[in-house]
Amino acid sequence: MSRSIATLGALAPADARGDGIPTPQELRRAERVRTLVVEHYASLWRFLRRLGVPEADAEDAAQKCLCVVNERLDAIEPGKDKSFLFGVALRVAQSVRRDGRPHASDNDDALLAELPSIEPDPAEQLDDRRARAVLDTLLASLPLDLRSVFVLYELEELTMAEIARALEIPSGTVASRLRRARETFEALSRHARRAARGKDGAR
Amino acid sequence: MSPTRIARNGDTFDRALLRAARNDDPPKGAEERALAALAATGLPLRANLAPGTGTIPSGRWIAGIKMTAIGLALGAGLVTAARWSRREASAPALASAPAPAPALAPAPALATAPALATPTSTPTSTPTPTSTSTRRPLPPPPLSSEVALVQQAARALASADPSVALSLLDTHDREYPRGVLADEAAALRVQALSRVGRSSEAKALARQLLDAHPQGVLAARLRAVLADEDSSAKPR
Repeated sequence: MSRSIATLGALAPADARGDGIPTPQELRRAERVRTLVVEHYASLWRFLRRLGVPEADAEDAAQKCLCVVNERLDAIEPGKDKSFLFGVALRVAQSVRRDGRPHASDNDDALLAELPSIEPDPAEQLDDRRARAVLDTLLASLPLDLRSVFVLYELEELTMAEIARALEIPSGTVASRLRRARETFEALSRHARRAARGKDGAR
Repeated sequence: MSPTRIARNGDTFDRALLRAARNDDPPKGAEERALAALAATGLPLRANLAPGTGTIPSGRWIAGIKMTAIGLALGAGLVTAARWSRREASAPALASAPAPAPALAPAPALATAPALATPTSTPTSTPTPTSTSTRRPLPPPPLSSEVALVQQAARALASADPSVALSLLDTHDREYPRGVLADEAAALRVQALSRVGRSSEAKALARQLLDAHPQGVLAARLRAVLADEDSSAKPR
C-alpha cells in the first residue's frame, strides 16, 4: 500500500453530508491545497531535484508530497503550509534516494571527477543544463542536512524561520548548517574550476 | 542576521550555477496533473476553479489547470460517490451534484484508457506553453494514466457495473503496483467485490486495509462497510 489510508479519509469529505455538495469548510480546505500547488509546485519539484531525486521520479515524488500535505492539512497551522510541504519533501526525497544512488560525501574526488566539462573562464557561457549538472554534482558532495538547508535558502529563498519550521530544527542550527554548507559549496566550486583549468591546460 | 544569498552576492560562476537551477522547470503539465490527481481523489477543486469565484490562479498553466481540474473533479465526484454508494443506493450525490452530469462520458471500455490517460496532452484541448529550455522529451509520467484508470473503475462502479470495475482495478494493480492511488483502488475494490457478491473477499480486503491503516475518516467508513456487510449477511 503506497499511502496511508488516512489519506483517503482526508480526500473523501466531499460527500460527507451525503449530498455531493462540498461544504464551505471543504471548499476553503480545497482552496488552501490549490494555492499550495499553484504557488509552490515548481519550487517543490526543483527542491526534490536538487536533493537528488531523479528527473523521471520527481513528478511522482512531488505528488506524494502533496498527498501527504493534503492528508495532514487540518493539523497544519495556517500560514505554515509551505514550510510543512518542504519538510515533507525532504522526507520523500530521502525515501527516493534510498532506492537510488548512495550519498557520497566521503568520496568528493570521485564525484568531482565526474563533473561535466566546464569551460575555465566564462561561466555565463555554461548552458543551463550543463550548469545544473555541475551544480548537482557539487550538491551531491554535501551531506543531506547541509544540502537541504543550502537549497532551501539559496535556491528557493525560504527564510531562516521557514527553514527551521520545515526541517523542525532550531534557528541556530539552520544558521550553522547554512554557514557550513556555503563554505563547503564554495570550496567545492573552486576545486571544480581548478580541476577544469587543469584539464584544459593538459589538452 | 541572514546572510546575503549567493545568487546576489556570490562569484560569477556560482551565480551562474544557481541561476540555472532556478530556471529548471517541472515537466510540461506536471502542475495540472498534480491538481487533477488531487481533484480525482475527492478534493472539491472544481468549485474553486469555476469562473467567477475570484480565486482563479494566474500563470501560464491556468487554462490547462482549469480544464483538467474541472474535468477530473467531475470524475472525482463519481469516485467519491461510487465509493460509498452502496450505503446510499439511490446515489443522491450524483443526482444533486453541482457538476453537469452530461459532461461525463459513459463508463468507457478498458481499451479507451489511454485516451483519458493524457487529458492535458491532447493538442486540441490544451494550449502549448512555450518552453524556454531544450529539454529532452521524457516518457509520459504514469500519474495521469493511473488517475484515469481509477476514475474509470469508479465510473463503472457508479454505473452498476462492478465486474468491469474489478477488471479495471486488476489492470490498475498490475500496471501500478506502487501507484499513488493504490489506496483509492483498494477501497474501490472492496466495494466492487461486495457488489458482485464476493462478500468474504470484500471483508477480508477491508480488514487488511484497516489493519494496515487503522486511522482516518476512510478507515471509519470502511468499518461502516464491514458492519453493513455483517448485518446484511443474507442472500442478495
